[in-house]
Amino acid sequence: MTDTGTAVGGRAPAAGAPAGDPTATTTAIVVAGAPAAGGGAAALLPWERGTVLERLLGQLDDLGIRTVCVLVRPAHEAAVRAVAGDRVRVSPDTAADLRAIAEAAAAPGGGGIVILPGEIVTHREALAGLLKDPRVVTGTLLGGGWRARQFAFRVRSKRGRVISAASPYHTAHRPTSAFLGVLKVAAADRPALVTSAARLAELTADPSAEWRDELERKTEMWRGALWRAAHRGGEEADEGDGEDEPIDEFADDPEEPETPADPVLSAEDDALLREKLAAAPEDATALALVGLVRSGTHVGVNRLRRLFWARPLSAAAVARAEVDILDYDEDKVLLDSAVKASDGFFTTFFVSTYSRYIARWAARRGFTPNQVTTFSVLIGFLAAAAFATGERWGLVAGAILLQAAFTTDCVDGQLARYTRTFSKLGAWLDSIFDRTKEYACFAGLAIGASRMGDPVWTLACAAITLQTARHFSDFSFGAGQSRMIGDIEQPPLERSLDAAGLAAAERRARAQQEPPAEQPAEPPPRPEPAQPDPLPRRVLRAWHTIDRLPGVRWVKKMAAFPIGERFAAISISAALFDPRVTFVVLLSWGGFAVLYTLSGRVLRSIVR
Amino acid sequence: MSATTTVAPAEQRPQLPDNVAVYRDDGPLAQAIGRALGPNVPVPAMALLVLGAGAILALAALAGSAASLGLTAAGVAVLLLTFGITSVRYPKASFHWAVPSLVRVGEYATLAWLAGTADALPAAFALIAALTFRHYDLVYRLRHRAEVPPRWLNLLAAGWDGRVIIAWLLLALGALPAAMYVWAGLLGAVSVAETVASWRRFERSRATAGEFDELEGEGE
Repeated sequence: MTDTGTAVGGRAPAAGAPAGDPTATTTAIVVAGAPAAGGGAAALLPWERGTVLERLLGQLDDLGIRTVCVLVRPAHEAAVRAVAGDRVRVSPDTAADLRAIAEAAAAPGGGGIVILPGEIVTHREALAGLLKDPRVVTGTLLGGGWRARQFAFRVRSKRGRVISAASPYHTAHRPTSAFLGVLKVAAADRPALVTSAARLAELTADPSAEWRDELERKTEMWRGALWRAAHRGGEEADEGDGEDEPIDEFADDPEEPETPADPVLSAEDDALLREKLAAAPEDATALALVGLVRSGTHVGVNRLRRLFWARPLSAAAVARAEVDILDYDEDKVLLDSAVKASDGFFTTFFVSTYSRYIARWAARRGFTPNQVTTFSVLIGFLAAAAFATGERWGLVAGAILLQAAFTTDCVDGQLARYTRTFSKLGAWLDSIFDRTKEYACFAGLAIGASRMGDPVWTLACAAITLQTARHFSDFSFGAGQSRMIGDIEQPPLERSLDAAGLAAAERRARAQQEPPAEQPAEPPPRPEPAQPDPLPRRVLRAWHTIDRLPGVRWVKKMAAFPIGERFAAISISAALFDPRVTFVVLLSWGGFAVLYTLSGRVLRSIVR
Repeated sequence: MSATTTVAPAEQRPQLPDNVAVYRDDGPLAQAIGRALGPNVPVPAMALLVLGAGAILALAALAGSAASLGLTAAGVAVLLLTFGITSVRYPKASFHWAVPSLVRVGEYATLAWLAGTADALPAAFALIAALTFRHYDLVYRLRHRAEVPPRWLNLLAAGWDGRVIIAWLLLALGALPAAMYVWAGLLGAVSVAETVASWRRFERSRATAGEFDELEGEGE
């Protein structure tokens, strides 16, 4: 089985990072402390003719990471040394793991560091997706699939940034994704890793009562999750991934069967829980992530998409993973996930369905995303010129050309994501040329209308003003949100609760007219607000809740009049009617979108 | 293996200039008005912005292309005052996102209205199109390269305040539409040339500042 290979031609040269690339990851720290069921290290569980660890080391080597350090418990040193040779370093416990991480990060020179557990089983492309993505400077691999990944520590991310992370001793309030064990730290963020890992090493050597309570709470949480999984009755359709950052920031976890106070597990589940409990305190990777997040480091997000991932802790689990991973078509997953999850309705259902195959064709022919972008804007200018003729055939030809330009516009981004050739220049070309195409078509339509004897320059000026104002509202709203996320004050590492968790605990304490408890006051998994929320918050929550109804999300996306809908509206109205109708449609739909987004943003601004 | 490794604190990411200030594209006059009147006018910033943009839209809708030179001068003055004062006074932070859009609506609508009174709307469209390049570039420059345009380019572009005054002067001098076309062409050409040159510099320097692309849901 060659699950390390890829089907895309010409990707091999990307394996070695170009010299001097400041974003390159050059060092890997493999934490192999997790014990397997029945003794031994989980990383040494057999995989095909070798071990899980050998497979992982091969993938890291293939990704061009030359310096590898495997942290191993003294009892397993000889066995790991047989696999990893002189890359082994003995580390008696988790605190020593963290000290070793701090030391490696403090070592002079070198580029980025990746920290990951030795027992991880995933595709090479999942690792490459994080390590080779220059957009994520320091970041983590995240996944959805709550139920399948009931043991994974959780994180809360917002706008592509991790704002809170869980570890054996830390919680993430209202989590959005599961942390999949892989943490990439850019060279520039190594000092933060040094400081936080050294501090965590001190704290982990002798966990405080607060920390021990948190681990106890997690044990109960996992026990409850296992019980619910056993009593849920068959439906396991939660493997979905890709866009797992819930749109609904106020949502609670999906509905679950009521868990009894003291759930009794089957023997099999009980064994699973014991495996996890033995491994959880050894999770230096999760602790390192908490350290970075709590020190205010910008930790970005890379998603597993629909690739395979597992952290087996028993021979049986490895055997299952060996079979399951065969079901995955890596190239198909890569191509599918090259399609942006946040696109609008028209783009998703009428363009991306076939444009991804054009992207794959372009990748095999060796076209670059920037070439496709340039080609797209040239077609856009042709469309504008056709509109400017003011003839019926010109309007029809312009409509068709504009759709061709839009398709190629989708292709460039998909090609970039598929081949992982990201560049800031490319991102800029894509954005600025989109605007150029659109406004050139406005000009073309207005010139055409004048030639047809029906000047519409007022409407054209109104349309370009409206669209620009709409974009600037988006830009500014986004910038404000990012700034707010950056301003979150992170609690010190000693605290188990994160910033939002502490705030919630304080609210609860105040609502009960009691002084805030020193310990996290018996944090129930789903705290009931003591008093009804203010109206705007209730409206917003109801607004988010209806997203669960089928189709509602798409209707909302269409209401915001995104680029695919705009280009389709231009093409259809110009081809069938005339430029005046086009501008009236653009202004009415755009005006409606303004009211729609405006009311949402005003509500959010009031709630804040 | 020592537990306490003393290392310098994590390198701080450079603090970017405030997005709203950059996106507003204020010229020297607007800033001067803001400094002089901002602290003394007890009207909320949001009200001033809505008032300014609303006044122009109302004038353009009611008087339209029949507006006299005096009325257009009054409109420009209202815009300069209301928007100018808000150049130093922002609404509360959770409403900052509304500011740049209102400034753009006020500016573009004024330019179109002024040109409309001289039957020069196509020239206004050309100027607005050239300006959209500048304004989107302000956003993308900050996002991708963590930069703002050089001072000379900002002065040449004159800010929204300078531009509405120039447009009114051109109208008063009877130079529309020809002068506005020339202006749009020059502004567009200089903006594009400077952007291309600065991108070339950035790519050569292999700088790592800035972000790659927009976050989900923002822009397209």
